[in-house]
Amino acid sequence: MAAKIKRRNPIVSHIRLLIESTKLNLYSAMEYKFNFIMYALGMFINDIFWLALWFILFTRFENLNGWVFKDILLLYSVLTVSFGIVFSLFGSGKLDYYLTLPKNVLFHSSLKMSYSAVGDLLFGLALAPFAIGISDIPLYLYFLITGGILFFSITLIFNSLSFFIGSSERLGGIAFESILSLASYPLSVYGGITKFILLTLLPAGLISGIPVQVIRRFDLTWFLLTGAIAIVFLTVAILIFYKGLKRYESGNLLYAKD
Amino acid sequence: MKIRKYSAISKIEFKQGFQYFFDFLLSAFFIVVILFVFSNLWRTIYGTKATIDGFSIGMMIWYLAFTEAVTMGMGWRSLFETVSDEVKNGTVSNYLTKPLSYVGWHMSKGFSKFVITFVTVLFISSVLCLLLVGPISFSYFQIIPLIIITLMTFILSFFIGMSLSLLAFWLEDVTALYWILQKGLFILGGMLIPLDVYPAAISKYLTYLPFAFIVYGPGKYFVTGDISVFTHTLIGQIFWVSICAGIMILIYKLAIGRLNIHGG
Repeated sequence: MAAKIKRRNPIVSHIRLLIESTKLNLYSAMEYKFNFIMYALGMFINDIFWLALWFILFTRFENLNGWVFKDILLLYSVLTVSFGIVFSLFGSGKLDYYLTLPKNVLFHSSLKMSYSAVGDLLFGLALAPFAIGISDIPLYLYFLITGGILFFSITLIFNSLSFFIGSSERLGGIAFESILSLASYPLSVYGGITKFILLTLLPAGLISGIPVQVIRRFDLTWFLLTGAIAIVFLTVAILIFYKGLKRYESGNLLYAKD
Repeated sequence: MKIRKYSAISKIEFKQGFQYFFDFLLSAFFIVVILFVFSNLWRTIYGTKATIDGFSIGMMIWYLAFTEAVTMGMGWRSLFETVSDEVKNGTVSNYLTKPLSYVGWHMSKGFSKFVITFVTVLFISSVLCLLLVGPISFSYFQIIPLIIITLMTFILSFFIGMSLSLLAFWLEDVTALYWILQKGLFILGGMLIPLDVYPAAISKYLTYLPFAFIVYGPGKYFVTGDISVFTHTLIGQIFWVSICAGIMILIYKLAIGRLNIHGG
């Protein structure tokens, strides 16, 4: 009599959830087509402006401690594609709704699409053919994954601060923007202690600068270190999230999922 | 009764002041990062050069400190968000029944924010500039002209920001327009890098666009004290303020014409 409960592998079921959620997000984007196009196109144009600034600078100065304009193209491609992938798939949702559901609460509550991130993603992909050759693709993909993990982890750490200090949205936003800004400039302009910090505590250099250097001239140490540090950041971020979740007290918030 | 009423308003203002203060501190943190990045970038570019296009490295960093303070003070993001929200949730109609102008209300609020943010950010970034590159020459005679063109900067930036924010009556969400406008200011207005450094073929046109009169002109006058820069900037500002005011009034009239209010 008892119905057979079919148990799926949890990893497979979460991947299915990701696919279904992305589909739903895309349907929703198509429902609000004008808004979706405006956000994505707006961000695409926004990114073109940044590139224009670098074009102007390199027209005048040609070389920044060994970096040329093609390196900037690669830097922006890695930066915007890894950012675009992460925030096209993940974003912060309302926690209460997901606490009672059977899927992993962190994973489930993070499934939200940012329309503007799609613009970043398209911009970075459009840039890639001008920045890398076919033989660079495996390394490029590897650094998209490490960059994506770092972006996700940093966002999770800043968002989890809310568990400990109350509303941290603005603080987290400024800190995230600062890391994004630091990652948007050639690593060659930083030196000494700053460079050390950007490659460890605030890993802006690992998101974009190191990928450019390793893709241009392979370095096994930095290749492995980037992956290792990304995993360390992800582990720490998850630990902080669950530590914070234990402290979480809800005000019996009742709402319909948007 | 009157005393209670005014003390309540004072309390609200006081609390808002504290709220802004936290925002200032956060903005200050961001400007520290930007100035730090650019001081590294310019050090790399300058190498052993003493000046580039008439700018010493100190002038470059102080220029950025000034233009950042102006940009943060303008508060375009907040203006776009507020107008967009007020159009979406209909609260814009609340202003229309009161004896005050919707545009005037936002301009008055924006002006207070501009003054507070501009002064605070400029003070904090000045301390950082002194630490990073030391002082630059600045005459007390520059103060009055600088105040004049900085105030004109606010008026011009407000008219441009409000004109585009009012497009929310047609588009509802104008966030994407804000991004483009802001980057337009950064790149076309020479906020991050003075237009003098751009290739001459481009910069000779950019210096006449309204963006240049918001950041480049006042910023250059701040670091050079050149009276010809002041007059060029002021004339350009007066010209673009007249044009943008006309555009803003036209958009406002068209926007209000689209508004349907269903009692309540």
